[in-house]
Amino acid sequence: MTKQAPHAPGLRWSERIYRMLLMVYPVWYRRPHGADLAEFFRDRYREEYARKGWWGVVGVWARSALDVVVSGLGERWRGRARTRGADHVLKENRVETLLQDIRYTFRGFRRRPGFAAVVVVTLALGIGANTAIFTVVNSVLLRPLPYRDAQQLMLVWGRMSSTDVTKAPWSGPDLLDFRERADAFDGLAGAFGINSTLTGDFEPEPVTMGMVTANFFDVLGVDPILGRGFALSDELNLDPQVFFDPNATLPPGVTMLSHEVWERRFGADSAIIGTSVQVNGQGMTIVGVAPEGFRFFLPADAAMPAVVDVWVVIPMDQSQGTRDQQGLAIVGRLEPGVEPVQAQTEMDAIAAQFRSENQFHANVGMEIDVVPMLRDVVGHVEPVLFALLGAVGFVLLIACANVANLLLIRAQARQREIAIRAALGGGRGRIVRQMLTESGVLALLGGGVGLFLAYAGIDLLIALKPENLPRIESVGIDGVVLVFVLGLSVLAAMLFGTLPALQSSRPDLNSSLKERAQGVSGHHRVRNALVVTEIAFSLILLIGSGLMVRSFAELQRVEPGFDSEGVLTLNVGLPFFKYNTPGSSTDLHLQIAREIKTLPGVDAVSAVTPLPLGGGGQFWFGPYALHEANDEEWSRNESDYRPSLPGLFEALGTRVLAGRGFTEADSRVGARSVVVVDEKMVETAWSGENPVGERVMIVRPSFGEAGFERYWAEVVGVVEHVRYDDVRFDGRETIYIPHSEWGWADLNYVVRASVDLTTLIEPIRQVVRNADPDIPAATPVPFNSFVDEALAPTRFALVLIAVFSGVALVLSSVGLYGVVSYSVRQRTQELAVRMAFGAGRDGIIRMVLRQGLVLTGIGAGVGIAGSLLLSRAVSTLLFGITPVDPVTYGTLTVMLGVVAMGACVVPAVRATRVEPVEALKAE
Amino acid sequence: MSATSDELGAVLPLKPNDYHILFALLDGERHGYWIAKEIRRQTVGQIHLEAGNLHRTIQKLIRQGLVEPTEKRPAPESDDERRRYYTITPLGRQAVAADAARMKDLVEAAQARNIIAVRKPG
Repeated sequence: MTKQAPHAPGLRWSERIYRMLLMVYPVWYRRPHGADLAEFFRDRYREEYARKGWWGVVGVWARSALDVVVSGLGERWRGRARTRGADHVLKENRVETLLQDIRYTFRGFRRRPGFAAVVVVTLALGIGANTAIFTVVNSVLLRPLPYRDAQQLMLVWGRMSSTDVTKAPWSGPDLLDFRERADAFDGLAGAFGINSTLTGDFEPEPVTMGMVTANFFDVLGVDPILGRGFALSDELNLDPQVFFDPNATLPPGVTMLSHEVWERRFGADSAIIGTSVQVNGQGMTIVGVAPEGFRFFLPADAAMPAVVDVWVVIPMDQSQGTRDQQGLAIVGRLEPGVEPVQAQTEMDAIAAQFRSENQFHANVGMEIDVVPMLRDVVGHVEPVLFALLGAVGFVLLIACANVANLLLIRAQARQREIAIRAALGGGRGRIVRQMLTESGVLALLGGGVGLFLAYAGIDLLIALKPENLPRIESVGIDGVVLVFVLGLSVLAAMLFGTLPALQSSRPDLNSSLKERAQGVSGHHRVRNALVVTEIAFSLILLIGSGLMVRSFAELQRVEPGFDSEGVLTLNVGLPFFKYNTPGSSTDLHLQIAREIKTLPGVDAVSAVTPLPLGGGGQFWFGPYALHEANDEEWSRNESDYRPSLPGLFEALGTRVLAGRGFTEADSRVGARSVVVVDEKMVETAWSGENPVGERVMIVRPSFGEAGFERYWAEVVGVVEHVRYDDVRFDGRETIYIPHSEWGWADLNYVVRASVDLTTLIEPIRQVVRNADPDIPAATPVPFNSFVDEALAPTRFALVLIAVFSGVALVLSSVGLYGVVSYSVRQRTQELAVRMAFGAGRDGIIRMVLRQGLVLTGIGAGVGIAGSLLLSRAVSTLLFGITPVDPVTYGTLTVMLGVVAMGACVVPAVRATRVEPVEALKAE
Repeated sequence: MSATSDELGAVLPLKPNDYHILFALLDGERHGYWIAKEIRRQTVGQIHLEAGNLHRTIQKLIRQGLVEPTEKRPAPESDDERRRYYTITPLGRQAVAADAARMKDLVEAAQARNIIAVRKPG
């Protein structure tokens, strides 16, 4: 029996191309070892494809191509050195020749500085754009995460097959079971984050707190830069009842500060180790400081703030609690030598055990996903970056085609010079080498300038604030990027230099030496083909950017269910340990809202959590049931929960469709339990019937103890649906609940005003400070900024692709102009004859334009076909239109045609200025 | 059979890549990609040999008599492709051993000077 080699699409073609690339090696090396090299390539291709998909293939190609060029040229060099090595004179001669060629090249540039400048700038645009985008790709997607042996780190998520919930966190008992049963992992740690308050002998400060198991930093392989990490003995293992008991005093814990807090709050003082602070009212000893920039990277939609200020060991006993109290994001380190797929297989078996052991896991159909951490963190930006990389690749190809065209034209102009050199005994190889040297020098100059452009461009990229790009802070040029630039320059030189060099090294001595040689028709064909390619690529880019523009317009047309204009927002979290009796926090919030309402210019005030588009929405959901709860219905129905204050819909600008919103009376402790639902909920739960007056069963936290309790609430109103998470997606059915039922929830104030919002910022902060100086001081933010942020990813891709397609259009029309005007010059005599025989101006113009339009037409055809083929790749970036949107295709093809016409008009008009007598006399 | 000290002296000390390739071959005959992967694993990703570099180094080791191509296969049924396998020669084994001993001396010297920590058992 033979083992079936794993299937890897594209391998056959890739191997064929790789074998062609091996021509770089000298034949005496290639013949005995070529098969081995190809075998290596094959093995690696299969494995990388299996591991990383098409990104793996890109990586294999990048490395292999560079390797072949470097090693192949190295072998050639060594081979020469070996066979003729003894002859020092020859070797020196070769270096001498190269220097001579380079000197000759620069002499040429000095003679025609315009030509060299145009070529270098063209290449710099292409290489610079590629370098900038590759730098982002490298920093975001390719570099390993900043942990020890980061490729061994996996995130472990729950997937509930009955509700489509993915990336579900886990409960404490789940984590303990994983540790006990999963052999594939060397260690498993859990973490979650909450907002809290840091107090000490300074103004209370709102901080994000990372609650972690004691082994968290060990699993990640991160050591504190000061003090110690957490130890198992730091786990307090408190009974959750004690933790939630308002009257209990908690034993002191330990905390590790982030580098940022250590610098900002403690002036980077190393003496703070061992001193005490209060986090959320609990005394904590500072034991360590995390390294600068340390982050626990999670996918953007996971239950953890991106930046954590203080790290604390989870004080509750993990074995207590129930399976449905899911809060822990789990990261695991694989045992050395264990592959992710083995861990997944093991976890699949554990998931089956879970379903048979625990009612909750059985109800939701719990599955376990083991995902490599890097892929999970950055995977969602792959499509955008892939599209951008493709776009800049096209720009470079267009630039190369343009340069090849210029070189071809110039080679023709130099035909006589080359012919003379050939006639004087300059060998073909020598001439080709000289021209290749010229291309190489041009490419390296272009690469150098391109690197500078990229350097400036990256700052611009970051200024565009692609908020959804993880690790954007680490984007920068490094060794990998420099190698990339060098490789790209060499590749570009091969692309644009080979053709002209080969073409012009076969001069027909006879005709070239004649005074007025006509162009060889082969050159025309090559140049025409190049221009057609340029136009095709430009159109693909134009259509791509057109689709993005249309998507963006569609996106802004979406009605999200609220009106963000003229609204200021403010997050207010009350210190948990101070406001832990029922009603106490709601009373304070109501008081704050009333006082903000009295400020001049304020029209409406309320508060809700989470804020639409403010993030964190996915953690505020819960079950509901319409009948006496049966577990099956209970676990199937999930909806978004939105704790809120009275007057919310007026402040948000959300329409009330039936019944009423909340009043202050609804928020009183002991009031009848009520809810407001949205139209989506009405569709799902009541099939569109007006539910006002109906009952629905939901849950609320039970005060003073861990866990939740179910209760019945009466529907008093129906409102328009609000897109909370993402303007692109409709989202889930929503239940609004008076804040008094969820007393400990933070609230986001929504202040609608008819005055300049900036004048309200300080008064609002003053209101909050007056209410309780212990409330962390957050700054009011215009609601619009969240909306802008939500549109940022689309805008980022849009702006870049638009810029690239603009560059592409300019480059390709310059190319078209060059080809048409050159052929006009070549055909001067023919045109003169035609005019001498009575051809009119219009006829001549039409004839020249026709030539340009035929090329444009063919290019546009190829471009449309290419766009249709590639449209699937960008479909995830689009919104509200199909990737084959006919309006976009049509409009941009016409636009391209107009620009192309423009590029041909100048040479066409020039053609009519031919003086027949002069032109014919010259012959 | 034992190599003369001259033969060994000519190849010692081994370059890091040479050492890792020989080390990877200690357990039997292997093919090129496997060797590269094994080295990457052993060095926790620090040494990443590309095809060209690997084959050139192997050719050099063959010329030095430390490695030889072999027709033997570790487990013929697990492999359906005609790959080229390599095996380590007795001289190669001696070179690895000699080089490892040399590095051990270096490590001990460094420990004696308190440059690196001595790992305590457990």
